[in-house]
Amino acid sequence: MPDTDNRIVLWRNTIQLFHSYKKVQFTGPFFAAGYTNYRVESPLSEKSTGTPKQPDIFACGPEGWLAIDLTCDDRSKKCQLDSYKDLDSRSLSTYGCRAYTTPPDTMSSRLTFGNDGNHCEMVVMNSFDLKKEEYIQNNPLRNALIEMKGKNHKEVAGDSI
Amino acid sequence: MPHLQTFAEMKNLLQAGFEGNEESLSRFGATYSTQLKAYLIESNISLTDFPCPDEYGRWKKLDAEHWHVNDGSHSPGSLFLDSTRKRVWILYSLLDANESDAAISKWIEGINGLDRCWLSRNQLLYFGQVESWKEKGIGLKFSDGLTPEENAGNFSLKAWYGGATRQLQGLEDVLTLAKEKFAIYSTRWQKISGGSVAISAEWYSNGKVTINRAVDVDEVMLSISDIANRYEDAILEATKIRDNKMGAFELDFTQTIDLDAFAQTVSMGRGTMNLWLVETESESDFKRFRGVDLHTWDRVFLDVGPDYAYLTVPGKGCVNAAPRIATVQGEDNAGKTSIYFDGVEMFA
Repeated sequence: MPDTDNRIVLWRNTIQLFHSYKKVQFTGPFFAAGYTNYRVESPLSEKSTGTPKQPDIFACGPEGWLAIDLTCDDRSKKCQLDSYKDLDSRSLSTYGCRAYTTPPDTMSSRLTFGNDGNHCEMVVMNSFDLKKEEYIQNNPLRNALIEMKGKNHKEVAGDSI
Repeated sequence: MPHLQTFAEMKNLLQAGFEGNEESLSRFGATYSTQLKAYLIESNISLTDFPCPDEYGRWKKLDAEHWHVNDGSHSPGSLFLDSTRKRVWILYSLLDANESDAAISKWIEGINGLDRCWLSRNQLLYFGQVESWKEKGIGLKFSDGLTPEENAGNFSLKAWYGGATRQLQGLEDVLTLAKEKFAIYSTRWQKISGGSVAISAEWYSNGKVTINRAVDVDEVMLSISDIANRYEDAILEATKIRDNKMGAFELDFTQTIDLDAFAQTVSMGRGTMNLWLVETESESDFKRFRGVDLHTWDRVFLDVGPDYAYLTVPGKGCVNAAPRIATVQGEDNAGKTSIYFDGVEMFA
């Protein structure tokens, strides 16, 4: 598949996870866990230094927040995801979200598994897969992601977005 | 101004203001819409039942948690309050500068528990450490307010930096020397993105910022949020250290002050310093005061020498008095002022 198509699939299938589609009876795990307020490529600030960081997606939930990087690249996203742990949740006020007392849950979204260090990895190619879910701190989110394992993206793709 | 209902509408309004000004700037060389201002407010009070600035209606909740807009017959939708942080609120204003400054000052003075965030030199110079920001100007102030007007050695300087600064030999050295001697009351910054100006802002030591130019509302709000975060961290750290060590904040002045004139000023219980003190001990080079901080009516003790002061805020009193005294004293009569606790610089 050409790289552009891969990227479209990656982004489409990841964004789906924040939504619920009645027609095909699909509820994305982020939607299910209450992470319905999400932003794409919006800057946040690092604690202490104020350095701007721009996760591909960040989202706010009832008891926690998350930062995701999407990639078709084989190279590890570990360093980037590590740095998101230092994001200052007070900068979420810029987007109308409240501040949290915990750092964000961090994860990567890919078409095939990579090695992103101590961070959860999602694969969103055909069916949803997950590894290193033990690094997700928020219980409802972790449970919702585990529940999604094995579900097919294609059923939703053509219909909803 | 419209009667806003949602957070998104508020951001759209701010964004439209920036775009309108950018367009008029490119077409006519000047901006015509009111420039966005924000005020950092130090708060000791809870969110329930606090009034809006006089005549500007009441606070109405937006659909985003901790965000409020003023709603009423007079200039609705021109003041926005972000109370996400417990100790530092951000009040955005689209009112005309003079009207805005007067309304916000009156509002802060009228509510027990609210104060300004008094930005230290390092906080005013913070963007110098952040990528893409350039220092473009500075304001220095020495009012010599304790000396009778006819003998006062006032000094004030406001400078914009550009390529021309280098055309006059020695000018940069003069600016550097002046910065080290006098208190900084404003700094001007530009954020450059993709080769053009993304934000142009002027920060003031009393916690106000004016956004002269901007392209993106998110970037602007994030930059203001950064300073609010730094100030809140400094307040929380100072409170924690005071609670654990029970000592005094040490204020170091670069210029000597007139102790008798100082005693006269604080005993009146008015003015920006917001202290009401009684002299309890006096030597030729030292005075001791006790009294209250009118911001919260907490007790304070102040020992003052010619070029230093020790401030003790006992119990659970608000430590915002330390940066307030440093800023007000610095600009009024003490020059560049630094705050230490147990030898460690605070509010840095």
